[in-house]
Amino acid sequence: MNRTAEGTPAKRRTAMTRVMPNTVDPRRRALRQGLWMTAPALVGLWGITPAPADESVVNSKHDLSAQGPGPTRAVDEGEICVFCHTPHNASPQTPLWNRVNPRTHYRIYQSSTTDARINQPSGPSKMCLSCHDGSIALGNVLSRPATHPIVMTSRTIPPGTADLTNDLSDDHPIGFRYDRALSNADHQVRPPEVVTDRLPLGAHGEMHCTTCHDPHNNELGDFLRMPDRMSAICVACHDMDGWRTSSHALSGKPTTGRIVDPDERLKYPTVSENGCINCHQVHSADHRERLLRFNREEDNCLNCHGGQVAAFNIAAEIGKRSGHDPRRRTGVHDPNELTFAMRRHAECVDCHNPHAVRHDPFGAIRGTLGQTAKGPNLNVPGVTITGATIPDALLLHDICLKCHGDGIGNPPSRIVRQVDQNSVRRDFQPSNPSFHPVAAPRRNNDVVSLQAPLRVGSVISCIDCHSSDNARSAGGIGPNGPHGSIHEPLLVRNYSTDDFTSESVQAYALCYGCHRRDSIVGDQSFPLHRRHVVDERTPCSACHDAHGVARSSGSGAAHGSLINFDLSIVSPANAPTGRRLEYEDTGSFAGNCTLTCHGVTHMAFPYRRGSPSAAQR
Amino acid sequence: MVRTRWIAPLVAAPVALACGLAFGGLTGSKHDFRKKEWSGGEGCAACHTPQSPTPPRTPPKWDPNADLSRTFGASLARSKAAGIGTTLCLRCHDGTIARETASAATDRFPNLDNPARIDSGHRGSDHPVGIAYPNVDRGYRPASSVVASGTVTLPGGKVECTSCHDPHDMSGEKHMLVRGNARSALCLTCHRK
Amino acid sequence: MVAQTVRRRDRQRAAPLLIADCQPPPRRDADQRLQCERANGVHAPAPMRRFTGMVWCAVLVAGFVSACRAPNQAPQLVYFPPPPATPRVVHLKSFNDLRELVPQSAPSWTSWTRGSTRTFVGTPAGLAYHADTLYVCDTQLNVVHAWNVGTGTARQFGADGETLSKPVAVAVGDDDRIFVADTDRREIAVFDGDGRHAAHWRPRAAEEFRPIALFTRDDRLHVCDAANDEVCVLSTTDGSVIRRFGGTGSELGAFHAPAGVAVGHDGTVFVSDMLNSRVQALTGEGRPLFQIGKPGNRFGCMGKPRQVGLTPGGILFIADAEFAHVQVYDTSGELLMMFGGPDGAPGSTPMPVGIAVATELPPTLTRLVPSGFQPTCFVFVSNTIGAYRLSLFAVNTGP
Repeated sequence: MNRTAEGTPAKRRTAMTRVMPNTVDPRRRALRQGLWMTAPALVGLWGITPAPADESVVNSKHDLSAQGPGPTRAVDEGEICVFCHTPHNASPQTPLWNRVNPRTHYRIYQSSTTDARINQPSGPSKMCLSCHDGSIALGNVLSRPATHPIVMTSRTIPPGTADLTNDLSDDHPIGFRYDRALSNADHQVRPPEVVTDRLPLGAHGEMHCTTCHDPHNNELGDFLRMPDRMSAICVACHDMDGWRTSSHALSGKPTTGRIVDPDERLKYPTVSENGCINCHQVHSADHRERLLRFNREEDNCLNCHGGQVAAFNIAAEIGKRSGHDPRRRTGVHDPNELTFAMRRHAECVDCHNPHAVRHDPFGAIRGTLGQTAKGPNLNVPGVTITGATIPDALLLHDICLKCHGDGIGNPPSRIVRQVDQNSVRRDFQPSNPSFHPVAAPRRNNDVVSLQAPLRVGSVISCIDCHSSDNARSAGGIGPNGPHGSIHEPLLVRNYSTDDFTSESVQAYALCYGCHRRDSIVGDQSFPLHRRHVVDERTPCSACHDAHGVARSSGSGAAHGSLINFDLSIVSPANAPTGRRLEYEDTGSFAGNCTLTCHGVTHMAFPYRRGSPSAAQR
Repeated sequence: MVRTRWIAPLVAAPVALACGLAFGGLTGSKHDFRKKEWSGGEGCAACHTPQSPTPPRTPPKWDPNADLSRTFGASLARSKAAGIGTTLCLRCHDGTIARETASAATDRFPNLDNPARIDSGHRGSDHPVGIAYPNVDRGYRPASSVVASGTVTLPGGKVECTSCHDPHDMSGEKHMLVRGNARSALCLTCHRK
Repeated sequence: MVAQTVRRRDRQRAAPLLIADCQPPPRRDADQRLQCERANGVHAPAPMRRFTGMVWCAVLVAGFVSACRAPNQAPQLVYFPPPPATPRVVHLKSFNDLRELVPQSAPSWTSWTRGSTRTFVGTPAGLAYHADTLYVCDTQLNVVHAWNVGTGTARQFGADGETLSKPVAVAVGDDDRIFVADTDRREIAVFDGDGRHAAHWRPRAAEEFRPIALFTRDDRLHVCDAANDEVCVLSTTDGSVIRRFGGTGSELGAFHAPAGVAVGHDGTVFVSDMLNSRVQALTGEGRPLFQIGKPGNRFGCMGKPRQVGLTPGGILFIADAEFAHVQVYDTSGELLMMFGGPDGAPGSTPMPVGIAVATELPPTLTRLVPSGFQPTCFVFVSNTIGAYRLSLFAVNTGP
């Protein structure tokens, strides 16, 4: 009685295990084959040879027998399995291993951004490396006496991509445990339990060569276990912030015409299909850390952003007279750098996150770009106006302030002013007596010159002034943003700061971009603008500080309306109480100045809009 | 007892016939023991233990109640059953008597944590024998197609020495394989790799 | 009858407890299992000894009942010959790991410093027992284990991977030197008592010599040479050849595959002649005396006799790899009994190849012996297949 009760479920269980794979497996296989039958056809349309679609080790590159397809093969050995496996007297390693493990000590992958603890390779990886590090002869198998190895056309693995050498620091790391601790430490790595079973980990959850590669199945090319089209195999583990919606993942643009490696053929014809391998190289990467294709960081970007693949020719922009040229430094940038201690540099990835960049559809609209970090600047670390470091900049100026805030080695100001503290972050503090409305809106109703849609209370961003001279936002056809400009310092339009500049639309084009010229020279605000700017040919910058005046350096009345005199033009006046250089705000469109300029001395010289005397004098 | 008596003559004739056929292949092979002096020109006895026709008259001294009609070892008639072929081979091919040997590991080391297993540098692992054929594993061809190949056998649905090796060497292949292993054809009969 | 019923009820009640206690993997809970075995073994306490027959019946019935209830019942002591005959051999333990046999053995400091803590056997071949130490040739790990069953310490010879490549037989000299037959290197490796590789002997050229069995007696080392089907007697002092006898053939005095050798106190040499299905007794000079066993498949016949063990009292244990049992003879060649069996049940010997006879065992092992059984010697048996590769039997060779 007991026996029947026990026997029935057991029988049912075996029946299920027997039936299920037979019914499910072929269907799934057929589906997969169906998908991959179409893939070569599509690829063929692009004129690229499809990878050999073979599900077996026979006739694959791992078929090293004398009848094998590759140039590296045995001279007369006809068996295929024997190069790795033997049925008897195998090494104790599964599966019936016919080779000795290399005793090589490997240089292993290191990166400032990895949380994995990477060890020397072990287990199955060592077994792969018994051929692929080039240290052991291919024909040196346990089933043959060491004195009579299998004779091969090439004694060891020939130099090339398959020869990993003893330097594994330029290859994707192996030999680390891919566990919950890792995914907890790095949220851009998926938890191991959600990673597909098609990428098996080792006995202790460690990553091996065999996690990505199936040495017996070259159906997908490179013996991969999952397709690398659209980087499916990479994103199975790597969950980069913003990747799924980024242009690099979605762009269907052809990758022809790259400027750094025009001759190298990427595996797939379009940007989205290549995915990660547009920039990364899983094995033998030129730039070891983070496995980038090119050692010079910017080359990985300029390769496509040189005019042919991507829409804008950034390479042309950064070469202009004033620009953030990433080519000036190599090997300085590090994603983990401390903003207050780093060496001064500008790499593309300081402002852009290539995993998260998106096209900004509003970038072509002429006018202000607003304050928030959008499309091209998503998921970039920054420093806020309060000086806090944040991993994901919300506002555009957060990104600029990383370097132009309180950083060591800010270049000296171009114009030596009355108040000069050389920190852009402090220039724009909302608590300052006056500032351009970048970090916060400014409620100064005296500003009557604003062009629509700007009005009192609007906010602007750094790149409204600092941008390429042909930026689309300023009416050009080039990229927005501070890549490079013919106008110093990286200004979107001309801005003359020399004394005795003849006033023209062109001379102060930057200012007139927002402040109507007719209002300024029409004396609608400061009643003596025309007198100073047009008649006396004094530049705007002689009196106004374009960024703002820091609170610590003056009272509110002394530095209202961005008044911060250029000491090379304006000098103190000799007053009875000593040399004084002062401005005092005494109300709406009213104030007085004490200074010497162009040989004229004002001593508490008052002005008020609407006062005829002021206008006459 | 009665059954054994009936079966013995029934079995004897086909066995003798099979022996005759089998020796066609054995001639000259390493298993051709006929030329050895000790075999007395009778090559089969080395593997196929001769049947004693009559039971002894006296029981063992310390085991007076022993069933004297008892026989030992596996008879030829059962050699197609699972396990029989393997144990028969391993009597000699255990690493000591015959040199081309298996060290006989059936499901020996179930996990990789076993200290015996991870110690590299030692030789001695062999293809498992006496295990059930993994019929539902994607890495293997279905047992039906293996058996249909006509060369590799799966006695009782299990992988045995005789799955790959033919002790009678009918094929004349290297290592007494049941078929040639050019292009690893023998391996790939089962392994879908 | 009353006693039977009571006993049966007790067993029924006790059975689940025993199952629960003994279910965990044997290696981890060797201690517990040992206790269980003892509990099971003490099923013939003093009052019941008078009713031996009834007790046996009770045990049988109880065993049958518990076997029906739980087929994976913890292994019980198995007696040979089966009841109601007087038990002569009792199976004490099957094990793969020294720690299963001597549970309290932890990796000792010496084993740490010597760089080896292995107490696990891969595929055992030849055995030897000397001074509380069981020597096991391991053809999978290619070492010779030296397990002190008294203290539970484990050592290996040839663990460096340099000195041994396929050890199949081991013998221990009176001066504690270890002789190991290496069938791959075709030589006899000699280790001193500290495990240092002292020498290697090769009485013939390598291609003409293949040692597969060894035995030492006094200053003589008897080597079975499978390449020449002969027994080669060496001097243990320097390895020089004293004598050779045998040769290929089926007549008396010739061998085919001499797979085991043992020498009695009177100088009689017993050589198991594997492919001739017999054990030959020869004088020390190699003159054949008589043969034990013959080809066949009944009592008194032999399949593939392998290593031979000999007690001082003249009892011969022959591992029969084909019939999967150990045959016991006296030195006159009379069959006494056989034990073991092919079925994989407790006490079975699916393919016995090695035999080691011990006349005394340390208390760590004698406590396994059930009370009421008076052993005169102990036999270790190694098997090349099966779940457990090593077995320990206690034997009563008394009259």
